Amino acid sequence: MNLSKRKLLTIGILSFHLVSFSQEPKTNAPNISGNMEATVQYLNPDTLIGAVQPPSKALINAYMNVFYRQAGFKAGMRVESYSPAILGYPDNFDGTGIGMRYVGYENDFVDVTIGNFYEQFGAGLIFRAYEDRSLGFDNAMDGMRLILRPIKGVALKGVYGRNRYKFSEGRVINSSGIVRGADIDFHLNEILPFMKDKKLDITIAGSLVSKYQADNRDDLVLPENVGAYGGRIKARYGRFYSDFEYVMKDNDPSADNNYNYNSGHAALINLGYSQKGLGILVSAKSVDNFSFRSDRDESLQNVLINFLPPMNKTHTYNLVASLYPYQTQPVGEMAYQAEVLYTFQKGTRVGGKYGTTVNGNFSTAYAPVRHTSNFTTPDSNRVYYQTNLFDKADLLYWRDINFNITKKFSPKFNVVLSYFNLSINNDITKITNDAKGIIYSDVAVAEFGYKINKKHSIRAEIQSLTTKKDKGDWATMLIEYNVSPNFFFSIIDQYNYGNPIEALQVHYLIGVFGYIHETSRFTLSYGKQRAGLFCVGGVCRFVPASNGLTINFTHSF
Amino acid sequence: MKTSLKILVSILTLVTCFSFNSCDKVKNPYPPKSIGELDESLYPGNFDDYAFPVFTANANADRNVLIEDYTGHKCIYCPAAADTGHYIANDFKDRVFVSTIHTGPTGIESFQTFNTEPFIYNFTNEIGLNIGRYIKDLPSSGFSGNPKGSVSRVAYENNVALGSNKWRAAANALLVSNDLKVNLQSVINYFPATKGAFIHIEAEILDPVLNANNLGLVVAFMEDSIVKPQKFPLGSPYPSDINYDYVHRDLLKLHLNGGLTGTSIGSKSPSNGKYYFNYSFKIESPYSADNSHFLIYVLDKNTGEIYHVIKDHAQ
Repeated sequence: MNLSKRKLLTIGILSFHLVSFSQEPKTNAPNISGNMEATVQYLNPDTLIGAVQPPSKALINAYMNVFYRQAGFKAGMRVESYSPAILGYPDNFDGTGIGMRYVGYENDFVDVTIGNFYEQFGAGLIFRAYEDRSLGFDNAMDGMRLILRPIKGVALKGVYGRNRYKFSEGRVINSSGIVRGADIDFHLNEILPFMKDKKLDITIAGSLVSKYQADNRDDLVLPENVGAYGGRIKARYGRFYSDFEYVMKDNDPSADNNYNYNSGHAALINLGYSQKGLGILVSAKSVDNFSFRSDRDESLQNVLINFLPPMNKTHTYNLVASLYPYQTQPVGEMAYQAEVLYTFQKGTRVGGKYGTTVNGNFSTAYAPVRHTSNFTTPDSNRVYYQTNLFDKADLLYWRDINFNITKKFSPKFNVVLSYFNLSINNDITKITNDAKGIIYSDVAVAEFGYKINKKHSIRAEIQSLTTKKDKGDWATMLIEYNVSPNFFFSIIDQYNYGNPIEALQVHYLIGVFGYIHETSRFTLSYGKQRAGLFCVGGVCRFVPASNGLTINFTHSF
Repeated sequence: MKTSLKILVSILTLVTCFSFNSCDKVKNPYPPKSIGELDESLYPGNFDDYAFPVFTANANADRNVLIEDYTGHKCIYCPAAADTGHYIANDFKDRVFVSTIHTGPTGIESFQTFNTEPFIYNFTNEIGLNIGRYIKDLPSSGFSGNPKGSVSRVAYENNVALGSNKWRAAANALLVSNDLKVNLQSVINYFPATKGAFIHIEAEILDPVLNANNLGLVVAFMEDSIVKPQKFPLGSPYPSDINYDYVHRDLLKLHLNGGLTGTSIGSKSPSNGKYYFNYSFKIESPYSADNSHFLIYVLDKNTGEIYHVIKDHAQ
């Protein structure tokens, strides 16, 4: 299964779970729901692409979630198994055991959970406990969560516990640090009588999160309690909406910031307009020194307390999504994004008989400016610089300019044409060992869909990526045949025809067969997968090259 | 529940939640020099004037060896073993050092008891007894009784604790291979007025395979010599086979910096690849600066092997 497919599948599973959870009836009848997924790989060695056969040859990831609810009582657990984990999965997933469990109670006023829980304050800038199983990310809290809704329009959340650090020999090992947080949210239109039924809809909120970790250094006086705090405001007026969030963090010396004692900040602005046929979104993000972990000595994606949303479009086409993805830089970045979606109506010259949708997106990220002139003796306090809000330097981290046109020519035939111009700074967000500096690439994609009859349809993609750096030019072809609602078959060939080393001009060919029955889905794929970064929401992990069989099974109940 | 009560509960909860959240703003990230490192009161003057030493490049390229002599004042064959250690140290001056530890395999045994005349002086101490038990519990121990000794705690002919007849060969083997994995140098500033010693140490990991978190730095305070009774074998020239004027040498008294493994090297962040440690110690009666020294060594916390040792004096 290719990466984008796996991502879509995961989103699908999570969506199903969220939907099924939210639709549970509030009756006294017991309700059991859940879902499971198993992925088995049998891998072959392939020296040409650098694929290694693990000693066990076969690898497996499996988990099942079970949720129980009755008359306000709730309980849930997840059993996980990694024996050993599939290729490229973080090595802190190992063994079989209970990875998540909780009990709780909920009514209109109180919602209490003891055990594991996932939660988010605002956009997650200050606190987000979540999981992404496709990515191998899980920073579930283990402790207590309390949500109170004293009156309509007011919600108070309190969290206390430790992050999940790793799953070792079937046991969850939590972070050494403790995370405490509170968030209060006021929806003014529900609280203030004079705001009721007003066109202007406002929500204001504030959060405070702190972590405790014992000072473990002899040579530094480390802050054992590190606090972060901030506020946000959301406003909607007719077709306009805006969303501002600003958070600050006190001195938080860590491995990420080379143990400096600077404070940090993160700010997020989203402005939007939407009407039928037109959507406009402008976003900006300013981040400096805002890596926030419950263990100051950890790295990679371990024990993160917060989440910095990506300021770039999430691409789905294979070459765009997985060759040069951008990874959020928590140490500092100034990022901007603008997107316009316009649909030419049916019957117009451009819209034709069925309408034409045009989408343009631009995103970019730069290094922040770090003012050092007033810090003549930084060694005395380890405060090395000052960074102002949205103060960007000239050093480019990332730029993405992309357009696509979706046109339906007949009830049976549609075409999507896309173009992407990507620039990524490989010195900052390391993608490859085969290039230095900024990698520029152009990607063009043509996607065709043809509905043969009510049950049968075919979809094809032709993708081309050209670049003068790294491994040179690539082309991808995909053909997918669907027999609704039960079967699909696809063949994907990624061809690195422009690799400067002729022997490495390899076809990465994968065949996929899928079977869907009600809430069960079975896919079998066989072929070569190139090495690359797999990213979800700006969080990435490296997946080594592989050659072999992958079987995936999911089921929801 | 009434709305007013819900609001009250929520406010109380909110206050509680926010009170859990605190933050420590640290204005001076460096610990004061006198706390946890040097005792300012041992400096005869204004401590702000104290000049920390600046280490020059460490020219040493040799691995030194530590012979730990597990002994007892009622152990009749121990004097001969002590002589063996002493001779080896003399033959390899500045390369081989001796630490005499009064302990049996389980701690205090019949050779170390001090409850009957004339053997009433207590040579034992907590750290020495712990070392004895630690050596006994090693997989290749060989520590069955006194006298025995270890040579940098490296197994020789399958045992860590060796009879004194094998100490020279074991020490020779280490000196010949001369595999210096960690280098050390020290500066000790001694102030007679206060009897305070400031011990400054520089450690450098030369073997990239070694992890600083697995290495312990030990600073041992040693008494040069003391005259006390010692039991000798039958037929010795001493009355009742007791030498009342026996010179006990190189006696381990305590570790300045904690237990068996001392201070973790990884507890400090390196500066140019080197780790710096500072300790202060008051050499109080019955000890004196001119009858004591310090042994400073780095060991592997997992295996116990002593990678390097140096000797320094507070004078």
